[in-house]
Amino acid sequence: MSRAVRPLSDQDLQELLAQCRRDNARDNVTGILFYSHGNIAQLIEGEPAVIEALFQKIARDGRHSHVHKLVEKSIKQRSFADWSMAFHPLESEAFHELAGFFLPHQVPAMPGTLAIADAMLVDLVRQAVFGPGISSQDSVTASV
Amino acid sequence: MRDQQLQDILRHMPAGIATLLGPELRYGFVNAPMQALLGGETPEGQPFAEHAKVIPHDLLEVMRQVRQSGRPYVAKGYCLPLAGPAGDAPTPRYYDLALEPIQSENEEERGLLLFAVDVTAQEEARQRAHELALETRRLDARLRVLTETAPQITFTVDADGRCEYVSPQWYYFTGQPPTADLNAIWPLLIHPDDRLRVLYQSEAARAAGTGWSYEYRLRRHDGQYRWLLSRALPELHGTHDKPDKPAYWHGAMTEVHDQRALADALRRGEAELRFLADSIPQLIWTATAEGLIDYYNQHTAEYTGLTGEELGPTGWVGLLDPAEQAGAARRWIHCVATGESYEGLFRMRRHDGQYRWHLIRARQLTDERGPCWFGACTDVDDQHRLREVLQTQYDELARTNRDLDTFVYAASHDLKQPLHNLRGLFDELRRTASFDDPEQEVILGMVDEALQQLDTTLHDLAATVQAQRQLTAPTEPIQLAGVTEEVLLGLRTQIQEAQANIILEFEAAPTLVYGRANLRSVLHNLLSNALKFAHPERVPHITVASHLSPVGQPVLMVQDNGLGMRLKDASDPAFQLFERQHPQLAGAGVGLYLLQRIISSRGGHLEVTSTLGEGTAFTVYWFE
Repeated sequence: MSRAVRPLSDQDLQELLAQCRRDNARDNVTGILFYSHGNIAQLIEGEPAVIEALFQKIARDGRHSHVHKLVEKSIKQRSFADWSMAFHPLESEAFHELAGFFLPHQVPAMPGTLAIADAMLVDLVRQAVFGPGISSQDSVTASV
Repeated sequence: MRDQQLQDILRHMPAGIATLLGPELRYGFVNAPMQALLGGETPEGQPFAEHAKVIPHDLLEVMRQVRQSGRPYVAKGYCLPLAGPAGDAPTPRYYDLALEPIQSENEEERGLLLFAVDVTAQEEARQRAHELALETRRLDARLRVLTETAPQITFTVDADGRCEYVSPQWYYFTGQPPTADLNAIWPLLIHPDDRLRVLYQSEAARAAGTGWSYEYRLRRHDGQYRWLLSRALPELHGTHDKPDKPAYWHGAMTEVHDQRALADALRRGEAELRFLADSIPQLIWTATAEGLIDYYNQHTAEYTGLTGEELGPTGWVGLLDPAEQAGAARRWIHCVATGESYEGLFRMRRHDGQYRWHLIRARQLTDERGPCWFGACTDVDDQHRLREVLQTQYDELARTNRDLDTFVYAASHDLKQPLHNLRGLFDELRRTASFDDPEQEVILGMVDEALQQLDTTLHDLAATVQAQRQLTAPTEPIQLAGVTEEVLLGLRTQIQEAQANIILEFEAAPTLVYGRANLRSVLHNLLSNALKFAHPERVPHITVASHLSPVGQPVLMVQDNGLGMRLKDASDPAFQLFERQHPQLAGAGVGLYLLQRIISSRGGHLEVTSTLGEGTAFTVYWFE
């Protein structure tokens, strides 16, 4: 989780989405990023070496501060097919067609491959970023 | 030729030269710079004063005096407004003016040589320097006021650690006289435990050319050692890349004693809490406002066999029974969102894989630092298992009891028919057979009586079971007078036979909230007992009265003047089933047992006082 140094505009978010999708597709990194009101949370999956380097790069990124790692663990299989991003754009029309974009309440259920403890972590983080009430597709509920 | 050469040189000198001749100071020779200075036109022979409007009056006067007295004069840094080109406002320029008298016998040839060197640049520099000096003095004064009014002690030390300056606060703080030798006294005022460290750190910083920041205790004027924060930075000159070796360090000392004491107390408090949490044989944890766990106590590691790192911010949910994990996670997310307390009974996996029941509770604490969570998991496995065993046993007992009741009821009911048949057959026998022996008549009577008693017993047994089942019946407000009348109506034969006198007094507490059938059973038993055990030698007097106890609970009293009975304990008369007080009288010994069961199961109790041969008083406390 981290805090944006300044609020990100629609333009910033769109550029971030494009940049991350390009880089992560190249490095075979999957996961999801949540953004709302300066709060950023990210889950990334990939080869250990790649992830380690990516985290170092993310931690150094000047666009945000207060970066802290919640949990790091090795997994047998990925839970995310690609890399995507969820946030509330000011002009949501422009984003509907973008690949890898979700409105916070449209984030798909966490797959069953994710342990409940990890699914709960994602849900708590999502709740911390977007605030309570984004529960239409509560992943823990869905995984039951 | 040489004269011409000289004039050329003079003309091109970078200084203004002019000769002014005669008493009216007429223009003689004027070179180009002087022409520019005087504003252009310098027609030879014209009086200087008429053309040179720029020349102030006082200068003119001095010129005349110099010519008159023949004593040269030099005016340094004299300001002359130089007319700007094309009528611009004149700008002040500064000149060193040398006035040299030209001696001559001829009055008209006596004059003076005017020599003007432009020193504007020097003069401006001098004025700037002056202004700078003023500004520096002002800043200096401000700095001194600031350093002397700030609550900190400020100081300057040189590269050898010698104190160059210390603000007056140092003297106020230490109580030392202004004559004190700073360099000798200061180290002595440092707390002995801190002295070596401070002197070393200060020297090390000076040697390295860096600043310092450390805390130490300094002796105050009252002899108390107070914690101070000393911070200093070197005064650096030279370029950024190649700074000179610093010669001075400037710094300030702030008293941090109270903060330090507070921080110490906080640290100690936290250490104690952590120790406490680690000592408790429960799983204790804290979580952030987002619901992510940031602390597990020692026992958690012992119980789970996992470190806090292995558990992670949400790992606890993975310890629960897999079937319960999703529900527990949902509930936790909900509690974090709403701030509601979390509570649940879950099975948690121990390091050896055994699941034990735990009561998990968490509460949110909100203070000025924002919300955080405190949670505890209490091992209730033993209690839980004991409760399960007890519940099983209870269920079994309740079932057995029900079966028993059913059996008794069925048995008493089923026995009624054979009894009925027996009585029919016996009556038939008595009607058809003739008995000669007079003793036979007595035996017949005994048989009759035995049959009667069997009938009563069966009836009462059935009634007991019936009453047992009615104990769960709903309650309602009942008029005591009405129900008592009904019961008395059922007993009218006995009342008539005994000629009994029955007095009802319900005014003090006319109604009672009770099960109707239960109330009727109680009244019926008490009244029929009073009638049954009446004294044969006197008319029965029975009083039925209700009132409220001192604590406001309803009480019923039934008093008779009958045979009375022998009691073991009046306040706790334990009436056993089939126990009979008066074996000579017909009865099953069921009545009082039944009565007591009804009353106690509805939360009340029965008391009895009795005197043999005088009478008995039953008091029903409906509720405790």
